[in-house]
Amino acid sequence: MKYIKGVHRHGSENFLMLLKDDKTLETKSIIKASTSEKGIKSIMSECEGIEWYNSVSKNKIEYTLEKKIKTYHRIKIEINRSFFNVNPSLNYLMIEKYLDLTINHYIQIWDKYKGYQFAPFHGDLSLVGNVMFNDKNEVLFVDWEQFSDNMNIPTGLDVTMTLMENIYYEIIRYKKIKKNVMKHFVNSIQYLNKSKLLSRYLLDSPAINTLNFINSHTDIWNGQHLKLPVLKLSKNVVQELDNAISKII
Amino acid sequence: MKELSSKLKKLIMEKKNNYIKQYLNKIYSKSENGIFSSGNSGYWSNLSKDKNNEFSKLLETKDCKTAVKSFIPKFEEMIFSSKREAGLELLDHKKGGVCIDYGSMWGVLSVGMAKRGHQVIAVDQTYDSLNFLKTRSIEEGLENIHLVQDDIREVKFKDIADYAIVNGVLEWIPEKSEVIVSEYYEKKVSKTKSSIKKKLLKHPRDMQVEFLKKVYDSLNTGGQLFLAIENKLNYAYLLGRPDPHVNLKFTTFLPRSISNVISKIFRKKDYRTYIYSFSELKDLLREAGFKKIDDYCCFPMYHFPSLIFPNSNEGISQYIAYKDKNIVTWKQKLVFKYLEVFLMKYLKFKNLSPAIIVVAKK
Repeated sequence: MKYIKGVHRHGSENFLMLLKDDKTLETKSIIKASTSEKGIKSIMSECEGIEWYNSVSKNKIEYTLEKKIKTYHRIKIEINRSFFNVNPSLNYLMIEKYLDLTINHYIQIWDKYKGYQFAPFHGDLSLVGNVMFNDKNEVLFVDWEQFSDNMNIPTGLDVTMTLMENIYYEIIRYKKIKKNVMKHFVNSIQYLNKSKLLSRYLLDSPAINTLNFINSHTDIWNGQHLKLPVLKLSKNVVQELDNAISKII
Repeated sequence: MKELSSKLKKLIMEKKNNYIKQYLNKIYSKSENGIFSSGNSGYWSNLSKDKNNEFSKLLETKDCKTAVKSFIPKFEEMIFSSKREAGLELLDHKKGGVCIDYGSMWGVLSVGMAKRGHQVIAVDQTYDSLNFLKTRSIEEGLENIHLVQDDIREVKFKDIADYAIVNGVLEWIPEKSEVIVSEYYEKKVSKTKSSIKKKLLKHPRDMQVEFLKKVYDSLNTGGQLFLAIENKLNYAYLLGRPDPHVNLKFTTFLPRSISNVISKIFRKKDYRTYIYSFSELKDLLREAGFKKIDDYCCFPMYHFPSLIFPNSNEGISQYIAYKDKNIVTWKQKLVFKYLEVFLMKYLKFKNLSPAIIVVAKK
């Protein structure tokens, strides 16, 4: 079964289609297509991102650029069905394990960039959809639409964004950051720093600098930066996160 | 190597272009301003003739986007938004083919198909609309759009097309008088003069089947028809939203004879803009000769779709709430958001979807 699930979602200019198994309704492949300049650009970024990721990752993403003409691009991405997404309704502490797996996978994939201030960038390592896991605790980063390898993006930004996004969901749930959550956030930043994958641009006040970077480089997201939940964090929470970090690092 | 490949592509494109031009030259003796013409003209537009004249003059000095923005800003999205092309993704675009866009109007789907690499024959009865499309295709460097001014009920294409587009057109087939959409929708008596005597007009359904037969004939074996139309059983019409063509409540789904009486009383004209339910539309297509017919539920409407899935139990299970910028007030939210979610997600009333998209094969 083929159906169109999204038309210009989150400010993208793509058509998003899903191919599902007729009986089980499991998603077999994702198709993205566009005729607009902006949409075509994001499909090209997706191809580049997948190629870059496949060159270093053990688990590969299969894709076919089904049609590539100046005015129309269409990409088909196969779904690796052994991988799953985490349930978005779980709270921070329940997904801690998955956040750790995500950070470890980042460290593994970005290994070549240890000690670099800038590194290639995924752009949206959200656990809600773009990071997948399997039973062997392996990780797969998908949805590379915002990929950029022009080396002007601070190393570790993908991870600070992911952590902050999950803190945002936590705030929505409990209106505050629980101690254990804060502890995990701080430890994760520290771990990233020790792994030499946290740019000095983020080291000092990582939360506010993450937001500042996004707000001053919105073009990276091809007009879709407003979809990022991290931008909805209040100033007070951001300050709270940075205060906690400044005590340790 | 890259240069050679692009030269080759250009050559192939020129060859295809010439083939279509030669084909159209055989059918149409007249060609004016790059627009083939049968001599059959008519008028169906969102703009009045005077406004269209002014707009055409503006196009001589300004580019399409600027002209639309300054003169008819409310139509900007309707004319340029690629969102409108979403349904075209249901077609197979791997190879470049020939596409006929029946009733192309300003050409949003002609442009969409041309950008997907097909040779497009855009047919419309209104010269001004074609003139706009001509200007736009030149501006966008789309040399693969061929323009034909003709009555789409009278075209003589045979086994030429791999694709046929009938987007928001089928319901207008029985209406042979000149149409200015806003006037047709609002006025009790159409000011535009019909050149055809009512007595001579066939039954609306028969005219629609006849037209679909012509579309069928124009397709190659295996060719695909893309058809989009409102669903007469759209839950909103059942709740009293007026008929989208004549602005009368309940006429979409009441027996045609009753709708006709209502239209005669309140609009002083016959009810002719027939729309259908899923099963009725499929019957119509079968009668025209189409065999493999896939029908899709489309939300919130086919003009600017957000969600399109097969009209099946599996399809309706994929329904998700979506953003609709036209839904603003709490009343609208209650009816068109929460009620729709309830009807589709929980009750799975797929046959009450707002619009129908069909992909049918010859």
